[in-house]
Amino acid sequence: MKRTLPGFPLSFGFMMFYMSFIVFIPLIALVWYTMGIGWEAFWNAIFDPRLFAALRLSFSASFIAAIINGVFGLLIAWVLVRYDFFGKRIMDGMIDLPFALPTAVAGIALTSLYAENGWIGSLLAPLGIQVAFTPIGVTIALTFIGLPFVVRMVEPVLRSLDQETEEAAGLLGASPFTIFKTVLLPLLTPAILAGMTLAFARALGEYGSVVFIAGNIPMQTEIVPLLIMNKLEQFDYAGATAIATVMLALSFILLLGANILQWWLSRNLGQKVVDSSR
Amino acid sequence: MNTMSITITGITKDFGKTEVLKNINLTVKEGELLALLGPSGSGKTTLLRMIAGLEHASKGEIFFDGNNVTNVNAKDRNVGFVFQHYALFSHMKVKDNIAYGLRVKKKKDRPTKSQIDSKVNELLELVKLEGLGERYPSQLSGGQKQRVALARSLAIEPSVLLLDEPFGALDAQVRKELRRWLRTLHKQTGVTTVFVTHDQEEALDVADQVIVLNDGEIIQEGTPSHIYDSPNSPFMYRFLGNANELKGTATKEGISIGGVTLASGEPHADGANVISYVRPHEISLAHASGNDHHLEVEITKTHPVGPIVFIEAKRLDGDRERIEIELTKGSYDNLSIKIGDIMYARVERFGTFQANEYMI
Repeated sequence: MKRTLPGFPLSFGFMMFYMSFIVFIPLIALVWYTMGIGWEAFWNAIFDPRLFAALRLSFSASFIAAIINGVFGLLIAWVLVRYDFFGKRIMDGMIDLPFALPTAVAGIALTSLYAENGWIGSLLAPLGIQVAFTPIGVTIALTFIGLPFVVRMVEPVLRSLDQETEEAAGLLGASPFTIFKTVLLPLLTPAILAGMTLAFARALGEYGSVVFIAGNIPMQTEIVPLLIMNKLEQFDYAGATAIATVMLALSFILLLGANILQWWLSRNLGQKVVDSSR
Repeated sequence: MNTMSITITGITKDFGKTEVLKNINLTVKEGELLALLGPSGSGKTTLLRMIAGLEHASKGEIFFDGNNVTNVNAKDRNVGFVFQHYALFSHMKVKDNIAYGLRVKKKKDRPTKSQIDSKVNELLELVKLEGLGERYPSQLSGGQKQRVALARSLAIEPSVLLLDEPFGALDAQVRKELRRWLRTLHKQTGVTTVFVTHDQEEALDVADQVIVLNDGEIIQEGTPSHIYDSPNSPFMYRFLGNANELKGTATKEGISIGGVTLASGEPHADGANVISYVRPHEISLAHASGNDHHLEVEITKTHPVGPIVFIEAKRLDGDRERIEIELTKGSYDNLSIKIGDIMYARVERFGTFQANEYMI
């Protein structure tokens, strides 16, 4: 296919150059440095029950946070696109606040809210629910910072959907729930998944907002980035890079999987949405 | 199929201050094919969406076979609806699109899998799309998509079938083909059908009955030939193609236009200012003046398009207005008309209205 815009060689070359500087070279340097410390030092740094617990917490809390954001992000996008209400613009602007706020500020605010003597914490304490300094607190912090992704991914897709399609389903006898399940959700799934993937990736690397609310109890509420910081503070650069490499490999595998899933879904759903609207 | 009649009484719809529909009353007989014809903004689509239950009237009632459905939800009205832009489910195959209405039925009403499959095949055959059931909508042409939409709406065996500018998004060739086919399909299924269009040719070609709407009001209703032969207002003359407007005065003998008097069956107050509407092809030309009221004109332009020749002429009497005449190629050649010829135009047929009826 002949195109008028700058061709493949130029744009591909530029992409490789840019990606090399911003992503590949720093990551290769990391792996290179890790290899330099030798296998024994590497295994010693890796086979650590504290690291296993932290990996489990980081991945599971990030995953749960991504799911929560998937559900509520869709809901928020729905309300913002489909309804008009007073203060809609302000609400719309506030969605992005978790991005703009220094994460430490968010962490301190969340901790003071959810601590046993905080506004929300003091309400939950009599029920025997402790949020701050538990995995629940970690999940809440990660949910907070991941909120904008799903909303911003779903919004444009939802806006571009033809309402007549929903009307058509309704006229054929489908209930609102059936319309949502059979018509809307299939069309929105690629966008929801893309947003959840971004939220998940962001949550994996998050440090600032989590360390305050987590309490950093070894084996219980330590996240992987915290372990890396700990090693760095002890000038154990080799240990820090070893953990980072493991984290990098796991993240890459998961994100690649998520991208393949999205690619497959959009080939089977999204492309058709685009085509038929022409 | 158990098809139903539609009765609409006193339907009014306003969006805030603007009235989109003003006290509409109409009946669609069981098994009839009715066209709602009107320019854009006439309220025809709103009326159709109201019959479907997608819009709600500010006032008035809608009955299907005498049952008041005014407050029945769209999903419970059992209407088939076809949208201008198809509104197909792009993530479903053609056969799943068609089966949708059957699959979402409540368990006790839902046909079995094999019943659904055979119904889908039957409908694919009906809309002449055999073998395309496994395709996705994006792999179909516009005309095919619209036929899938039609099959989908027929799957639920609707009481009435509603089509909103069904051929509006298609090119001329396909449009002509599809509207003939719709006519045949309507004969086969016999379902009461209402379709909205702004294309007068389409309405006259396809429908049993035509209702013309303008500014939220019914202007005229009747069979296509009645609508075409006896337009009841200046609006109708202008909307159904071109018409020459000839200013004149009503007299006891008829309508006096320029130097001639045309016999008119309609009574108009003596001396009233009137306007007569004459369609371009309802004027004939002759080189010699006859004894039956010929307007003297000078030919200013001729423009043959296929079998028809469009002629512009200037009246030589008082008003010196430009009039348009359409002749067949045959009679044009017989008369050997040249630009600058002085000829005599005979008005074969016309409609006359008081001048103040149309002046705004």
